[in-house]
Amino acid sequence: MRKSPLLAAAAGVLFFISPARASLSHQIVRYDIQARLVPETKTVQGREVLTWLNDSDVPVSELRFHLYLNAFKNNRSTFMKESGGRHRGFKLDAENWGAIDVTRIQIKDGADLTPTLEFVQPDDHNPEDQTVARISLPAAVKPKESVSLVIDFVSKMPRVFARSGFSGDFYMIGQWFPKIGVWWKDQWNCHQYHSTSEFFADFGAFNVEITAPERFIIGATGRRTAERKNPDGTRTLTYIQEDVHDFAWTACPDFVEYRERFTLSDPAVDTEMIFLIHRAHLNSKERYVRSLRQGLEFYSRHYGPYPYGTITLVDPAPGAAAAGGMEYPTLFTAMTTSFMPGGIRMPEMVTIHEFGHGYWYGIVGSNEFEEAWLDEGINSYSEAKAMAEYYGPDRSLIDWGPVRISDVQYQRFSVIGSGRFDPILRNSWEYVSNGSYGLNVYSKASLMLLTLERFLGEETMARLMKTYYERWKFRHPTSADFVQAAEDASGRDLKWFFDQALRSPDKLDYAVSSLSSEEVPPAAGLFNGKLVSPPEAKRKRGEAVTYRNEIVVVRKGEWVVPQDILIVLEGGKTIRESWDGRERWKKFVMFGPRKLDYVQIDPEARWLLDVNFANNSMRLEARPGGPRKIALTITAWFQHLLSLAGL
Amino acid sequence: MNVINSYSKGIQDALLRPKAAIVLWLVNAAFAALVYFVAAGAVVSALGRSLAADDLLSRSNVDALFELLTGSGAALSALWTIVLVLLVLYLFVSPLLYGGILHDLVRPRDRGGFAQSFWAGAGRFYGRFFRLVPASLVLWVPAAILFILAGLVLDSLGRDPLKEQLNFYLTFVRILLALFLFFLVKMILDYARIRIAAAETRSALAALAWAAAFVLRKFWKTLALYYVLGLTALAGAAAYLGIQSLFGKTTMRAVLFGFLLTQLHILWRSWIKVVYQGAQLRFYAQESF
Repeated sequence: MRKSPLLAAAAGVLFFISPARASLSHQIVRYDIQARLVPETKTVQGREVLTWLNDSDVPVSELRFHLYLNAFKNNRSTFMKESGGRHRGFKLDAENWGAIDVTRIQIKDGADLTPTLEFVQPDDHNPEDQTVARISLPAAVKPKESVSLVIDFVSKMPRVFARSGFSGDFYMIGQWFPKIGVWWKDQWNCHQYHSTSEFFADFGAFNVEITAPERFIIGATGRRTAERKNPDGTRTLTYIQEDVHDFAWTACPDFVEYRERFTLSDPAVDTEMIFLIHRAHLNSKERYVRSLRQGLEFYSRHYGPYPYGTITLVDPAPGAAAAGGMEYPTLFTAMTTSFMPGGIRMPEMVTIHEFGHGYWYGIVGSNEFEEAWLDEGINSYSEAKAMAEYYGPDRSLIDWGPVRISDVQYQRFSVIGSGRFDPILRNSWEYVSNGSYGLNVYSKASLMLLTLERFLGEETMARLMKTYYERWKFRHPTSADFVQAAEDASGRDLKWFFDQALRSPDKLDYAVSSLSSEEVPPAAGLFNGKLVSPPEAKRKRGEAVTYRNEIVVVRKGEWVVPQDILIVLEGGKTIRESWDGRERWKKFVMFGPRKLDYVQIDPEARWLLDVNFANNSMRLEARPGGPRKIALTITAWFQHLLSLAGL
Repeated sequence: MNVINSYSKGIQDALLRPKAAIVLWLVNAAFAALVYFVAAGAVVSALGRSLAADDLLSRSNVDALFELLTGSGAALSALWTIVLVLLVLYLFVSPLLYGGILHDLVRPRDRGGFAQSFWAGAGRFYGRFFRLVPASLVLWVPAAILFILAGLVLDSLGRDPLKEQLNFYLTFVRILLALFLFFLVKMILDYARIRIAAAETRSALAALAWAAAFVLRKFWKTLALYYVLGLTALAGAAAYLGIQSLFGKTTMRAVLFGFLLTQLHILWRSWIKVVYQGAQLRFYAQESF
């Protein structure tokens, strides 16, 4: 039976905004879910009671849902068409498709809406894609009222190749239940599941009962509040979490569970770290624990105290690496192997990165479909900073024998070595390729922020990040909101920067084009009617030599940024010049008793997005040592190769 | 006993022929000189007169190396091309070197010097030694098939993804197996050349068949000799790497010293190669009659 509008409104208001709940977020949804894992059929049978609050000022007469698992239903889904059945190097198993089947959907104690359910494809109009569904309501949900639905569903898990699924007895159950879209700007923001896209949902509360055979070790979003054994050899665990926008869980009999508390006094943090590590990867336990502690400390200190009572690290089973490196609220999947040299910091980097998404995606709930840089880019920037702080700025990613590579260097390499087809800001499914999506929303966006930091200064940048976090935690910001936060925190107009950085695929490349130091000859010719002839024009003994030093700097890319230029003369004397960088070139001419030694544009390397640092400087006289060293090294390698190849 | 005897005799033979090792080193260095000029050109074209180019001497500037990789496509392509061409060319030159050295080892010089003996052997055996290259396919192909079959067995052992640790060890087994097969074929080819030089066998294929049978018949001894020689070579490599690791190459003087050490090591490897030929020739002489 349907509630009267008045009752519904009252219940909605009481449930969602009761001050006694002291919610961190404005809760739009509440999910009460009962889920049962059936390993024999690789399915999850579920019943969900969804309560949705219409927080807008307009009535809403249809609801839209994500049915993400239908991306894995067949090779005609938009995800499969875009990805070709491959995701981050993993390939689908054509014997084990995934799907979600909504068997019933009705208003709680009211009308059965199942017949009105239909699939829609707002992004690409692919009629065979079933990742978004809509239902028509018999009566519109009025502003500030809520509606409750009961939804029965069966989720068939695919063999994992893109985040969710199973591998042997390991299950990563993500994006597994019918999840309502976001009613945003007076329309549904409910995109299809794309090859490159991630997710977007409203904040709310989850109360989930998970039933699985007793042999499974379970982990899930939130805190475990109850546990009971059932007569049929299963047990049921209850998890509750408020102020999140998704719920994921995992099950595997081979997990070894560890729990440790993490506390911090400034800012105050007290949370329980839960580690579910596959027994084959126990060699990485200490690395996981250390890096999660580092993540909690870094993000709490730099952005805001970690607000949840638990954080769960899931180590996917061997063979399930495709589930690794993925974030969900208060739970994330890490990545390692049975043998991982200490200097290869992949487990640390992935742990810090995925934990960090608890902030940039989890707490600051930006739209990953439309502005993926707001979570991936900001988080890659944060990850690079954290890795540098804990592992050293020059070796934060790899410190293995003579090889030392930092996270920032890796990010820069991926950007300078690739084509420039897309801007950072674009719908995630509209990039020219998966690679272009990745390098733009992760690496280039991170470098953009590191560049901004060097431009504004670390203190201002820290203020910017805190401003953005505080202003937008538990809300849905856009790129414009980030720019506004940046301008407010810095007190500067930064549109010129973000317009180029976010909206243009162009490159930033300034260079020193040429240098010359020519001796100025003594005066010769007619002076006051008197001919000064060449013999007389000879320099007198001891007379000072004057040089005409000429420097030409050029803008080779389309990006326009102000530049500092360092001019170093023989003997070490330095001169600083500045250039607004607008014209294609600028010439500096100066006279003096010293020749040029070298000239360097952007000497502090502020513009990290400059695609070529090598052309930023030039010596008047070449010093062949460096090139000779590299050439001799290559030659020696070749000699060894030759020695192996034949007699 | 024959193995140790052959090993020591081989060392003596090589000690008596220092010019053989010097010839091998000279050819190696001549090929490498071309690579040096192309590599230097590639680095200069990418980094020019920049401070980044300077930096390469004093530290490992990863940014500069990345820019070298990404910013000098044409120059690097030229470098890789020249490396490949030189490797192929070296395969054509190798039979000359084998012929010269084996000839000098097989036939004591009654008159004339090393050069005369070397060039006489180089010309005399070149055709047959060169024909050994295509003929050796009869060994490389079965070796490859054996490797693939062994790989299938190893695959079946490590199919379960939960056996991640086992798979890691199996990777080493694969590498060791590949190296074993590679050196086994190389060893048989050594004996085929020795057979041609010592017995004046006209047919490369017949020499190859004889060598394969010889190695199978004396499998453990031939293997023992080959690997004792290999360990000797490795001892030199370990010493070379050890000395190289003692000093950083942040000055031009240190870089040149390091390169000089490399030349000494290449000379050592060249000498070991002469020892290989001498020792296996001695072993052949003792065991084949």
